[in-house]
Amino acid sequence: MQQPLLEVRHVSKVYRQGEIETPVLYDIDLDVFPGDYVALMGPSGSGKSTLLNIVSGLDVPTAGDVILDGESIVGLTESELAEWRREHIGFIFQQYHLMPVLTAFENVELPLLLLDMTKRERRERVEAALEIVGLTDRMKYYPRQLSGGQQQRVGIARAVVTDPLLIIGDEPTGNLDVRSTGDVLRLFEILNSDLGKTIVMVTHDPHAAEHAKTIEHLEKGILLENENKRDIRMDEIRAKLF
Amino acid sequence: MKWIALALKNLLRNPRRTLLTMGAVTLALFIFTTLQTVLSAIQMQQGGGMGEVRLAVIEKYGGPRTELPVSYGARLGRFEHVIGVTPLNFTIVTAGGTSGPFYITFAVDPEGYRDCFTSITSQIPPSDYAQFIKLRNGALIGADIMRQYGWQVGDHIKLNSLLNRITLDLVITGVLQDETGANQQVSTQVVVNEAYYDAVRDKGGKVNLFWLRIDDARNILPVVKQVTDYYANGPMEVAVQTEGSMIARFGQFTASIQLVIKIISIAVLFTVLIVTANTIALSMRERRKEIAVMKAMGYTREGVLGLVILEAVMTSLLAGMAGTALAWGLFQMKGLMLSFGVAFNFVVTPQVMAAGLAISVGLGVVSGLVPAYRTARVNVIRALRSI
Repeated sequence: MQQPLLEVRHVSKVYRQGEIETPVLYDIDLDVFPGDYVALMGPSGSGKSTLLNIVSGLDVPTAGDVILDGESIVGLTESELAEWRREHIGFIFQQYHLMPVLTAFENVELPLLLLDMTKRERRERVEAALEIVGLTDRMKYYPRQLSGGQQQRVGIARAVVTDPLLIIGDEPTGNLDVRSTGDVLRLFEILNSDLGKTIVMVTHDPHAAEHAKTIEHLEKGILLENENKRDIRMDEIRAKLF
Repeated sequence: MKWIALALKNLLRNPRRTLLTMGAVTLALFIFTTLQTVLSAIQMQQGGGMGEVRLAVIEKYGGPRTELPVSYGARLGRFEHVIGVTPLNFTIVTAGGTSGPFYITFAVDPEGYRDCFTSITSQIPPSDYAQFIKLRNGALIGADIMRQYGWQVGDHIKLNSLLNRITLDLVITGVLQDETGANQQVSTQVVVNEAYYDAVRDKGGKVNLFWLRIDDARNILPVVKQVTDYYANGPMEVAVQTEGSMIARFGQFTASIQLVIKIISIAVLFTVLIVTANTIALSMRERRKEIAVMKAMGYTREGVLGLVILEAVMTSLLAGMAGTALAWGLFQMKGLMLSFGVAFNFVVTPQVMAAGLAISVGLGVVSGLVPAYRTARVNVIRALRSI
């Protein structure tokens, strides 16, 4: 039986601000297998982004465990988590977040600067990533010289250039027009089906979610397929958290 | 190299701001280097000649400005424990015109000078020094001056004495240089024969002071007593000072100047430190999201800290190099003089340049530290969420 690449085990998250406690996630269980393409949907405030942040090691759960490729990330220090993300996670953001002073090539190269690579190796990797997203002819362009769709494609190249185990997309089509959205979603499919990349993507857009192999719905901090657990375990969770 | 390239790209993000910051640092380091050069010239003037026990005999009430009869020299040489005596007049000379560079010049008795300043004269070949004794218009020229004008021993030169507007026709008989490090100032000085100098200026055998060399430091007090007692109630009473007190006397004169120089240097550097830190902090606030993205990609706190400090150091170091080079250029273009009865030859020494560059690096590190620390602690989620 195939082992999940990503295992989310009983993850709960509560934000505390002084006396006020705001539970955001309740006992989330989720398995993502190698080669999966998961769309995480839900209304605003449902906890999608929080779950994504926890899965990608940007945030830590109040309870539960996150295991990627057999390695638990709960309990790692901030530096260890940074190194873990460097090796295992590729991020695609809604607002692209490219460095305006760097060319497309240099933006894609940025995560590689942290790895032990020669300049030539970096150049080959960057060129390959830009070729995947179809921007080899724009590698010397600065972000301001590129359209929104092209900037997002640079963002995708930057996410895949380190060959990460998991690609995380936070509303990757949220800022794009219909045509660019189509281009980006096609790219995601290529990454998933042709290159075997595992993708977890948060989206509000049902059309975008349809491209995924699996759609998970979050509402008020619980995964809908786990909804029946909510009432059963609520008391137990609260006792554990508070 | 890859990090330097990245830092350079970030510095060019807002060229005007970077240039203005660099301009402030350049100006600060220019002022610092200039002031330190002045300070170093003053301090160098006070140093040197140590290791030999010498006493200065000056007019009791007016000091070196009130001249003593040169004839006192013969009597001074006969006091017990005195093993050398030379009269000394000082002036300031230039090698052409009156616009400098300016060189301190001492007119001395060649044989007495050899006896009193053995640590200097022993570095001159005996045959050259013999020529200096022999030739009435012979001159010992500092090695730096020789280099500057391409002069050779044996050359005939003319030096203009600024204090009494006379021209000295001299033959170079030796080179003053310091290989021991104890008399660094001699390489920018000139020593001429007092007999010749006195004849040219026609003042009838007057000197600023006499140097006496004593056989042993333990005999200073007896010699001071003998000399002062001998000339007490005479036409010109004398005061006898140790070399240390002569230096201290000059030191007191320049101490306030040195203090002002130090205060100005510190104030300028502190001001520019605040300006630079504020500029870097402003730049970092604008880049919070970019830093958050870098941290999401796997850049650690330490990595971000290092990058920000590297940017700050590059800014201040480049600017510091420019400021130091400007100061160096200033002193290269024209010799400068501060006249307190003694002239200073200003040279931006390697030590001052190194201090300027070290301060530039320190300025970068210190000014970048707080913004870098705050930037490195950026919360990725919050920074990416903010509009």
